[in-house]
Amino acid sequence: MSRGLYAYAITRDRQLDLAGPWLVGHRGLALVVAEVELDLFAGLEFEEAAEDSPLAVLARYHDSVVRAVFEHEPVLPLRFGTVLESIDAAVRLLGARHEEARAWLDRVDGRREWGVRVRTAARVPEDLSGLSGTAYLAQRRRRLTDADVARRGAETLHEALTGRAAEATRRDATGLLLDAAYLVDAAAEHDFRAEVERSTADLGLTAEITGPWPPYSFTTVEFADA
Amino acid sequence: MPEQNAASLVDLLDRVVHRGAVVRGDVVIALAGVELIRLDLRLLLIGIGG
Repeated sequence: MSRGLYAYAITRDRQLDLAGPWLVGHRGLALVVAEVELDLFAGLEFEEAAEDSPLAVLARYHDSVVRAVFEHEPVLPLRFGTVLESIDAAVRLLGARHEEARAWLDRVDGRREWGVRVRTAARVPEDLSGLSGTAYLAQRRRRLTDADVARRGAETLHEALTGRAAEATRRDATGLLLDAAYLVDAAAEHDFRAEVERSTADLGLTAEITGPWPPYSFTTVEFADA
Repeated sequence: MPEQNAASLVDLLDRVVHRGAVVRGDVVIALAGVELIRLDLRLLLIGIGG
């Protein structure tokens, strides 16, 4: 059976007890790795929100390893399914991308990621049959205005949160007024969360917060051909 | 009031499978199955709010 070296993350080379995965160190940096059977990834399928699916179990384990490192050291999470040829390959990668990886670790050091999502308000279906033409138009105008207010509110929220964060990244998604992630300094976390509470209350929005996360959304670097 | 810790499996997969640093080149073993999962997840995320 074919085996490989699964790589979870790049971090600084320190003594870490990870109960399974171990560190391949080189010049002060390390790859967090574990030996795996490649077959494990051959039959994976994406099943929407199935908590007990093999993919969900593997992804949660991946996250738990990244978090275990993240508790002690800054971390560059690697994308799920990164499998290296060998320990030699791991050392080669760390050697070839040393400066770049070190700069990225410095960039995320002492910071955690928070996700914030604002949904469009669920529309209450109304009975329009009894309305006069004028009343119908008035109601339609009111709805458009409400939607516009909510959209601008989400922009204001994003600006306020970006002001409290070291970095911010945002994605367009249908049905969402805001789908963003913020990389926040440990010292600014309290203010950031207070800002979410205050702004959403002021703007009449409902936000979903997730986190803290390791900086998954802020390490979208590509370590090309090492 | 914000809803706290609403991290779902989709949030987790979005980050673990879809984000994070990418390694390319001859040090890595390409896994075709993982590429397919990324495509499936991308399709889901396009319509996540729907």
